[in-house]
Amino acid sequence: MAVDADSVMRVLGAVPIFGALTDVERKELAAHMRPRRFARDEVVFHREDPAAHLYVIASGAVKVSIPDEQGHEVVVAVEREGAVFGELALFDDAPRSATVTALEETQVVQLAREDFLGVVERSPRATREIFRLLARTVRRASGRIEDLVFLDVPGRVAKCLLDLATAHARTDVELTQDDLAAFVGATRVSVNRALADLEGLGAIAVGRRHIEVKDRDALRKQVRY
Amino acid sequence: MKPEELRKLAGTLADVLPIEILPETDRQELASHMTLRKFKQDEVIYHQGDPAAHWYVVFEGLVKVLLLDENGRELLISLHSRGEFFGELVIFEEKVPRDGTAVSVIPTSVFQIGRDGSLAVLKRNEEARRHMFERLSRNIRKLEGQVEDFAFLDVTSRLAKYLVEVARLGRPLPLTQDDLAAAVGSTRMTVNKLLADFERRGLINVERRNVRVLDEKSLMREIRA
Repeated sequence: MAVDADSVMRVLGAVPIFGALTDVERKELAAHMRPRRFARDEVVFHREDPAAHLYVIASGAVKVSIPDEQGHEVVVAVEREGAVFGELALFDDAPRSATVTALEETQVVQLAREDFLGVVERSPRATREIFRLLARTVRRASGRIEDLVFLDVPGRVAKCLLDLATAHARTDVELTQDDLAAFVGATRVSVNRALADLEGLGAIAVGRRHIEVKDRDALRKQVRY
Repeated sequence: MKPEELRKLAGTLADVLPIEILPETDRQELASHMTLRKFKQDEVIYHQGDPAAHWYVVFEGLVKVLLLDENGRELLISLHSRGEFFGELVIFEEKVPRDGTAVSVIPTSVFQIGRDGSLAVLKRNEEARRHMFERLSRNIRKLEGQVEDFAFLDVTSRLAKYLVEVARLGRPLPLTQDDLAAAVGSTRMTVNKLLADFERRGLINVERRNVRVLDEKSLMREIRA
């Protein structure tokens, strides 16, 4: 499916930042946006790259991750259709703080920094939505730290699956076991063990590159602080 | 204290807080929504879960923000000294309770500023908004760095890194060993043992409420992913 002007408009309308604009403003903005397509595992941008664009996901999913020098990575977030990413570096003029990789076939529309800042300057409501987005990002990051410190690996795996399934209102979590290990800051081996235990409890079903959440309550019981 | 006196006091923070970006009328408006509050050592400024209507700027002293889990374990997520904000997410999100507990580390005075007045001032001032965007972005980067540390580094590495970072601030932070333990997500006992080991090897000097770094290079070598 190609991203045409209509679907760009539809995607933008569903994003709070752009939903705050008038139809005319949104149309003008959509004209400046460039659709791009990424295959599974393709990198949208790398950490330390100079930043010039913000992205909106039209379809598919990406992971936001921080690689370290030894080739480990920690996944900071998984974003899906309708989510905005890459906005951070546009405010403080710094290089990218994380690497973004497509988890599946993904379509995005990209917006140049100046066009984005133009929107921000024009619309107080859009500004408020961006602040809200940043505030949520702050909360999410401190929540991740809390989980890493207070939960053991099985608890983190259960919480991660619950969060992803809840945030995206679906029962399928499309992550490899390596991604999941990077998300919870653990080795693949201990994540495998935790998944096997959860599967034994009937809480999930593990497939190739995806995990189905079957019983949220059973999962919730495994999140013990 | 009268708004006029408060403004004068806030003006003395000009080297750390660009109060001059606001026009005179807005400075007056902010001052009218502001009070100066004094706290003794170890006093709670607000509790996790409290409803929120104010945000804070440190005038003098030091404030720690703790995340508490259900078992009473503490995680020290951030420290704030002169001119720094805390609790500022309240400006951007309505009716979201405090996600951490703020406590004075030493005798501390803070400006407490009302949400509504601040919103009005932000709405009118492009420069102030840009400043806020930058502060939030920096905050998010810092938190993401912490996520990375907690995912990749063991306790020894985290403590070594924390000590190096604090030393690089160039001013002593009066932290107890409990604070250090909460900052690196460990117990006082473990931190105490590690500090003794670092001290024995001549890397640091443990003083009352202060750790002096003697050999930064060797301490850096303790940081292993």
